[in-house]
Formats: sequence, C-alpha cells, structure tokens
Amino acid sequence: MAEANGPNEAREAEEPKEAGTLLLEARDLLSGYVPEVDIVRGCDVEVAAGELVSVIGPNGAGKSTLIKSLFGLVPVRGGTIYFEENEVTRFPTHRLVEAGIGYVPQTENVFPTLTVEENLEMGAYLRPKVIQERYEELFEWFPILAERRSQRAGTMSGGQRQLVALARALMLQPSLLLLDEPSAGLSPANVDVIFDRIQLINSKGVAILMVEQNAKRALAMSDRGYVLEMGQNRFTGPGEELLNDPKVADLYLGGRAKG
Amino acid sequence: MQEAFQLLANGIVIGSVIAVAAVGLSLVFGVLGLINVAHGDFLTLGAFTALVFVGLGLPLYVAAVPAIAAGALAMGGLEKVLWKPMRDRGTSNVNLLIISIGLALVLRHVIFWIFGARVQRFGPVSERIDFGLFALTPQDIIIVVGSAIALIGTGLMLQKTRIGTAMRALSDNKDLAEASGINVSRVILYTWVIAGALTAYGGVLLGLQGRLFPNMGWFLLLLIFAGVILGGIGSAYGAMIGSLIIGVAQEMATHSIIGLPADLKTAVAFLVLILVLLVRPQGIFGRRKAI
Repeated sequence: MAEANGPNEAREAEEPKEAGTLLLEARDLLSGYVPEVDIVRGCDVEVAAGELVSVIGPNGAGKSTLIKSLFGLVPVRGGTIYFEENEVTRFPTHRLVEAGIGYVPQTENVFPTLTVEENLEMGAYLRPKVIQERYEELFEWFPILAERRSQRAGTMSGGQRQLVALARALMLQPSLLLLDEPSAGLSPANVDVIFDRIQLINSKGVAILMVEQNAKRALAMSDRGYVLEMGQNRFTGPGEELLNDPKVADLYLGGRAKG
Repeated sequence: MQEAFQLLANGIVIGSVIAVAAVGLSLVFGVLGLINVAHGDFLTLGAFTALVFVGLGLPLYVAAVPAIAAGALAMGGLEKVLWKPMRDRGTSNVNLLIISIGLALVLRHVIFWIFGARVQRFGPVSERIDFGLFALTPQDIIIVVGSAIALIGTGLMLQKTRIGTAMRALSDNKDLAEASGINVSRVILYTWVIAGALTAYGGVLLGLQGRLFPNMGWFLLLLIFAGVILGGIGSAYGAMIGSLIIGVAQEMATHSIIGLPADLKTAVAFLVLILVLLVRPQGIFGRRKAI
C-alpha cells in the first residue's frame, strides 16, 4: 500500500497504511535562515507511514526551523531529505505539496479575509477537481467548519482557526502532515480539541510530524519522539519511553539555554 | 440645487475613471506590497495606444481592445523582465518604488518622444444631453457605464474565480499561499496582466473624458493614490468606493456655496482624505494591522 507512488498520482488514504514503511527520511540536516548560521545542525529525522512523531525541546532548540527546512521554507545547506523514497532535498515548497506533504504553520495559518470554504479551496489549488469530494470528508472530521463554511476565517476563534488550518492542509490528502506547535496560544479546552483531532487524522492513516511545546501531552500521544537541543536530536525513542526518561525530564526541568 | 446635482454627476464621471485606475493599483499593492509610481503612465500608454488605432480609422470601442492588450502585455512583460528578477534578488520594496519612479519617467518620455506635447482628442466632444437635474455628454455616460462594467467584472473575478480567490489569498498571506501549493509566481503574473488591462482601459476612459497629453496619467496619479488610501490600501472594493468619494468631493468643492476656485479642488480631495484617515487610519475598507 505504501510503495512509492509517483508524486502526481492520487493517494488513497482510506485504510491506514502499514506502519514501518519509511515515508520521510532526513539525514544530517544542516539549515538556517541566515548564511553561515546553522540552526539545525546535523539532525536525522524519520517518519514511517501512518506514524505520529513529536519533536520536543527547549525554546530555541531549532524545532520550528527543522520542520520548515523539511518543507522547503528554510534553506537547507547540508544533508539529504527523502520522501517516499525519492530525494526531495531543496525542492520548492509547492512540489512538496504536490508530492503529498501538508503543512500547518504555527501562526497566521489561515487566510483571514477568505471564508472557511475559500480557505479549503486554496488548500486544493493544485487539484481543484477534488474539492467537493474533500469537503465531504473534512466537514465530517470538523463539523464546526461545515456550520461556518461561509464565515471569514479572520473572525473565528483561535481554536476554530486552527481547525481551518488543519482542514486546509488536508485538502490534497497528504500522506504526511507537518504541524508547527498546533496547540500554541490555545485555551486548555481548545488544546484538547486540537489534540483529539490530530489523533483522529492520524487514525485515518495520515502520518504526522509535529513540533510541540506541550511536551508531555505530545509524547503521550506519539508513537515516537525526538528531543532536540541546540539543533541536534539528543534523544529519540517511543513517546512513553521518552516521557519517563530522567535525562529528558532533566533537559526540561533544568531550564536549559533559551533563545 | 441643480448646480449640486451637476457637480455630483461630474464627480461621479471623474470618480469612475479614477476607480478603474485605482483598482489596478490596489490589486498590485495587495498582492506584492509594491507601490507602483509608474501606474499613472500606464493610463497614458493605454490612451495613446487607442489613439493610434483611432487614427487608423477604427471606432474607439474597437481601438480600446489593442489598448487593453498593450496594457496587459506591458505590465505582464515588466513583471517577467523587471519586477520578478528584482524580487528574486531580494530588492526591498523601497528600492522597487524608486525603480517604479524611473520606469514612470521612461514611459512618459517615450510617449512624449513619439507623440509630442501636443494636446489631442479621440474626436469631437458631443453636445451635452439634458437630464433635468444635470446634463452630461454621451462620452460621460460611456465613461460611467464602461467603468461600472469593468468594476463589476473585476469584483466577480475576485469573488467567483479560482485565480481571483488566489489573488485575495496572496494579499492575505503570501507565505501561507506558497505553503498551500499555490503557484505564487503565476498568480502574481496574472495580477499584473489584469491590472495592466484595467489601467489601459482606464486610460482610454480618461482620454474620453478630456484630452490626451503625455502627462495625463501622471497628473491623475495623486488622485488615484488618494482613492486607494481612502478606501483602505490593498482592498480592491475600497479603491472603487474611495475613488468615487474623491471624485465627488473635489467637484463638490467648487459649488458656489462653498465657493472654492477650481484650482483648489484637488486640495479638497486630499483634505477629505486626511479627515477620513484621522477617524479611520486604515481607510474605509482597510483592515487594522496588528502592531
């Protein structure tokens, strides 16, 4: 089910993919915003089909930079990235979207003057034919959006906007969804809603790589986690294991360097 | 009373011309954040292209077609050879603005060089038709109707088509548009092409309203900016409404009760602009930006 399809073939995410097939593989990644200043310094990241993987770490560890590098938003200076066994290092963003990667930025992740429907439509800009069909499934996953399909996204609450952003990123049925701190800035009740929806999305077979500040909750629901520090992954392992690892706890509770 | 209606009608006529030009400027600003000082000179380009074809014996409504094509081609072409390469090199918007001033001068002087400074007309101006409260020339009526068609068309394009929605998406958030898989470069190119077509068409209407001379678009540019800013910068609908208000305000200022000389009417347009911005700094339809 998870063999490497050509990037343009439609992917069916009807049944969960068999876990274990490597979907995303980044080796020795070096990247940063400004020339000669590497923020991500030799990271290895793997995500298998259908897996839910969290990246946690102190502020300034390079978590967001890592996820943006994987999506072509930050220049990659070294290392290689494979997606579905094809090399995609330094691919422009729209080709990665075409290949089956969805991305939700941490902030400003909706088009505020566009309606909910128009936001979703923009998520399927590359394949407008799928729009109607995708609405059906996504409105089922996010019923609140069906009720508010004509509302401008900018007038919605933070939690609802996050749902719009998730739905937009799912319009092309990505096999991998990259989430940059999906719970940031949300009320505790909304954090529950978002994490619940993320688990639902994952249960439908979409692999998720998510960067999170809320480390405990992220690890508790993840298949695996990476602990990033100073642009390198220090620890990796199953979510539960990392959660109970005294060294990981120390890295957080010890209050390592910020910024 | 009749004077007021006449001035209102005159204001709507000139406001309609400004509106067509302002929407083009606003679209480009919304999508790129670029303030294109050369915009007025593209009106001139449109007007003179139409004049060439009128000179060949074509009626103006036919001559408008190559004029619109010339505007679309010129703005689209410049995106390819000038604006995009500049942006790819990371040129700042301030530098791009300076470049657009240079472009304005080049365009104006080329037109001057080809057509000379002589003031020209598309044709004789017809007699005014009396509507009771006001009188307008047939040309004036064509301007108002022609402008309404272009503005409604632009509104439908923005609201109902995929490319229009993508333009609004880009104006909202270019990075997110990129991350959604929208081909941002192509949407920008289409924006220029549409803005170029609208602007050249606006130039034809401007020529129809008065006379053609190499500075005609340049002289209108400040009023176009006023319309765009009054309506809320980057909002195409705001630009339409703002332009009409500017047009009407400056004509009404010459009403005998107010008694301002016609030379001061442009100043009144700007006074209205300043007063509105004092109350609503983001313009009528503009969004308040977070600091």
